Amino acid sequence: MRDVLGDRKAIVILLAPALAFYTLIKLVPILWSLGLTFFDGNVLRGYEPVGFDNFTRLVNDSVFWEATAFTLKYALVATVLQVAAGYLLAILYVFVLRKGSALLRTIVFFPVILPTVAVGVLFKRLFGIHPTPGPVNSIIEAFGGQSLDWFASGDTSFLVLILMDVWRSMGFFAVLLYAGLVDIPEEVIESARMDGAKGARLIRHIVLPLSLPVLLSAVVFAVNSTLKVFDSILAITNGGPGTETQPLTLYMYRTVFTYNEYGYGSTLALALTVIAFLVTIVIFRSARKDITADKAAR
Amino acid sequence: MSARIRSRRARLVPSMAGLAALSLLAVACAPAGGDSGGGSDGGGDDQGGATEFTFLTTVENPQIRDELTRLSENQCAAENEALPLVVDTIPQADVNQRVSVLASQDALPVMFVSPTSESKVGGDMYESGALLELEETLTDLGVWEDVLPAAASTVNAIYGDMVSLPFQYNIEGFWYNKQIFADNGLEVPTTWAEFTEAAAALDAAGVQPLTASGAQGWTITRYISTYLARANGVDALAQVTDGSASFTDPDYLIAAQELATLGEAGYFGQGIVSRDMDTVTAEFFGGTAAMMYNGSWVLSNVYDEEQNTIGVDNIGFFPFPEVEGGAGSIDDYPANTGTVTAVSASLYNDKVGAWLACIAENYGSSLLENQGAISGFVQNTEVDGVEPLVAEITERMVDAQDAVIWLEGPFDQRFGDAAGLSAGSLVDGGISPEDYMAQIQDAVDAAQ
Repeated sequence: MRDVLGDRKAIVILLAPALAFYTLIKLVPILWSLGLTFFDGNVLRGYEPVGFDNFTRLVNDSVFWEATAFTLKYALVATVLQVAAGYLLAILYVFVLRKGSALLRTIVFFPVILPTVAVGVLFKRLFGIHPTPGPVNSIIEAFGGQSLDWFASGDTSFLVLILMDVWRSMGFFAVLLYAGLVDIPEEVIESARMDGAKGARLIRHIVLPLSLPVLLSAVVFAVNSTLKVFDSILAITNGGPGTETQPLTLYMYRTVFTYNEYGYGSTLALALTVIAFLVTIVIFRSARKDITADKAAR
Repeated sequence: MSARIRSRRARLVPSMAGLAALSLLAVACAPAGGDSGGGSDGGGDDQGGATEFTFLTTVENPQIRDELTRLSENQCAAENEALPLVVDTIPQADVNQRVSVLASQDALPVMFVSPTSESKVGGDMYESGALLELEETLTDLGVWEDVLPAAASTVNAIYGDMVSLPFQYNIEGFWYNKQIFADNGLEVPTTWAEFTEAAAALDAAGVQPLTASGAQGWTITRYISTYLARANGVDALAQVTDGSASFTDPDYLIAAQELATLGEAGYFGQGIVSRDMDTVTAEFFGGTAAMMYNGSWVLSNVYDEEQNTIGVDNIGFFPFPEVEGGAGSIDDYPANTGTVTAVSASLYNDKVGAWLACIAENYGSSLLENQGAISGFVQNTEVDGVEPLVAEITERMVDAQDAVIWLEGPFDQRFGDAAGLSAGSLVDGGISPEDYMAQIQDAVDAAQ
């Protein structure tokens, strides 16, 4: 076996088909989409080259900027809340419940395996007002308040979307961060305790710095998934009211599949890719700065 | 093993790897089906004509496929034997994407639901030459007189050509609860002023006057287009398309303002933005709301005892009221022929022609008899026991003068979204009439 894996040519033989297949199904469509940004048209009409027109249009498209602003706002708020909730749960699992956390971990993780659209429909019903007020509105009425159409304004719709996303994904981040926390050597925790570190101080000065790499991974996961949020918004608000909750992904989808503008849709896809790439780089760079600063302080 | 042999084998390695990769690519690129030699997916023969009467329709609309299946077993059994009917369905939301791709691959079925905006003259589907011109075809087949003239003129007015078979023919207006009107001493309003007075009286009596759906924006945008047709004439939208008028002009803006006023008064009840069509019909047929703007297709709900709990006799219909001093007439009805159902130009042959002739001759009567619904085909066989309300609607269709085109009709899909997605907010106060009309005018300008 060592002979085979030590032979570069054997590695090529083993990898080439898989690599070619990967190239076919992954890279070719990406490059194809990149090429389409310089064209206008669709599968029926055919394509004609338009140079940088799609990019000029992108810069002047107010709907694109609205969708970008919503996407960034959504990604920021959802990421912070998802990771924070996940981290708190992970701390609960490791330091409070310890070995008895298995049941809670399973329950909290359960929404992760549910189809997003099903969760969307569930939350639509929870906060709905039709045909009868949903549980949330019923509770408001029980306390003497008046039912609210949560989906009538962008702000309240945003609140429901964030709540749903945090509820759905905090179990995943809790498990991810739990894996990072259990990796912290028990002796380090014990010696910190013996030195008098307890509760918040222990978390702040020992647990948080030691779990920073996995926390960073969680943030990158969260940012990239929330920047690409699509199905839950489609199911709950369809981007409405108006286009107040329309993320870039939904605008891209509509541009390509409803308006049949493949070239401009590809330009929107490229813009989203660049945004995700830049945000990821910013996160990594700022994390590296922190670590460097940490080392310098030591 | 000698060094020479090892060296030769080493030279062969990249070639073998490349060959393996190419084989895999070839497998990946090969058609999914085993037979790659036959005709098109649409059921074509070697000469391009159809070998099956394939029909692609929407999942949400069983009416046409049910009736065609019935015809294939009865009046059109001979045509079905020569060219068997094969029905396939797709969700309405997938029509734009799927049908465009099928057209680009020359794989359209014989008859298919086609994207509305793309099927108009100038649209991609129309300009691709994929759609059969139906007036000429049906005239050649000797069955053109089996199409109601009003339905044909509606198709021509909307699409600029006869690209769709009128499997449905609908007029739209207000459906009202007769009992609620009688209890509150109200007459059927014929003018906009009477209409708003009636709504105010109902509201004062604690009855929700109107219901509409923000989730299905068309139930709201129809108020704007029909008000404009009553106030400025049936060519009000045509004036916007030819650039001689704008939605932001004061005499156009007033339509949105009137609608917003109804919303501001609370006549549509709470939660219009997120209200869906099921809730709208449940509110009206459950007696919660007194009036509902809707099309004549709602007759199927009227005669569904499970849905209609207020009773058939309590349901009435009146046309969108006149606007005092307006250029339009109350006899101009918003009309449509349902989703575009087109025929493939490339798959047309004599057997398809025989099917089309059979449909034109029999569909109208068969649909009315079996489903109590009205199509754009003449009823060649007298149907006994037609319900009074159905007869009344049919009479109104016959008497209809000009067709009022719906707000989104003359424009592209971007306009449709700009108008429909914010319609609930216009009624709810989330967007001002000025901003709403500016938004839809922007969509018109962007397309030009």
